[in-house]
Amino acid sequence: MSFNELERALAGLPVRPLDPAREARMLRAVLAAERPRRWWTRRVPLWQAALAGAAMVGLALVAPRLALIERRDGAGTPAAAAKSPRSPVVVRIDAPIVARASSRAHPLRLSEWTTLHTE
Amino acid sequence: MSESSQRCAEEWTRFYLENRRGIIAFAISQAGNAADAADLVQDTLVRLVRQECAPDDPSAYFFRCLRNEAISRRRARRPNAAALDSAAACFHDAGICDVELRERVTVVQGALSALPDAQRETVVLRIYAEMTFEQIAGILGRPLGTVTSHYARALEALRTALEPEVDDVVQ
Repeated sequence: MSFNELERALAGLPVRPLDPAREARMLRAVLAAERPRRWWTRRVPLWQAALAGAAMVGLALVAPRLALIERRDGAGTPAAAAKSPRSPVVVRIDAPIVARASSRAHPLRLSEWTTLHTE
Repeated sequence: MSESSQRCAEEWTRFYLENRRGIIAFAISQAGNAADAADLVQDTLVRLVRQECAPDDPSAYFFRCLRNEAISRRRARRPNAAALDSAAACFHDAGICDVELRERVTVVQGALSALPDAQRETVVLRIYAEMTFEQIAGILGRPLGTVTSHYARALEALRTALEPEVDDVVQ
């Protein structure tokens, strides 16, 4: 007996059907099935995800320049001043009560820790 | 219901109705009985509708999902036991009135039950679901050569077991 004849013989045997009521219930359930629409299961299109990512990267690059975020780099400390010296701030006190903070010879630089010269 | 979900549900329902025989045979062979097979098919179809997927080969994709779902259920029921049970081959209709045909069905079921799981799955997918060997290899996750080898061995075993019966069946 060839394999083809055997295949035909096996294929010709009846397959047990499902219960008609159960099958109808199954098909109703399939037709009523819906993908749950909640915001956390919403599919985000690739172009939207890419756009959001690009916006985040752009904001991260631009924000420091716009000074939207307060700098917390310890500016004003001796270490910071030594690392990136800034232009000195000269305070001139025209009518000192006790002492003058600066003179022409020794201007007071508030950005540095320095000895206070008095006259 | 959204339009895409509705369309997806209708397509999978149509797919089921067009391939009902093979789907039921494979589902019963995986689940072990008709009631569990109906649950298995329903859960698989509902999951596919909710995924709103449009696979290139719906038949192969469906049978692969069905098999994965059946394995998950068997593991959930009996941890570390993904093998099919002994009733897996009883998907033929034994309630038919024709006595001769019923006897033939009983003999075929016995012969199929004696096959290893891998060979039986291959036979069911090939003969009842009418899948190609390439599709079966994709569904079962086995090399094409292994699938064809399993099929040939299964047919040889069935022929040996059914030799006296086949003559009657062919006639």
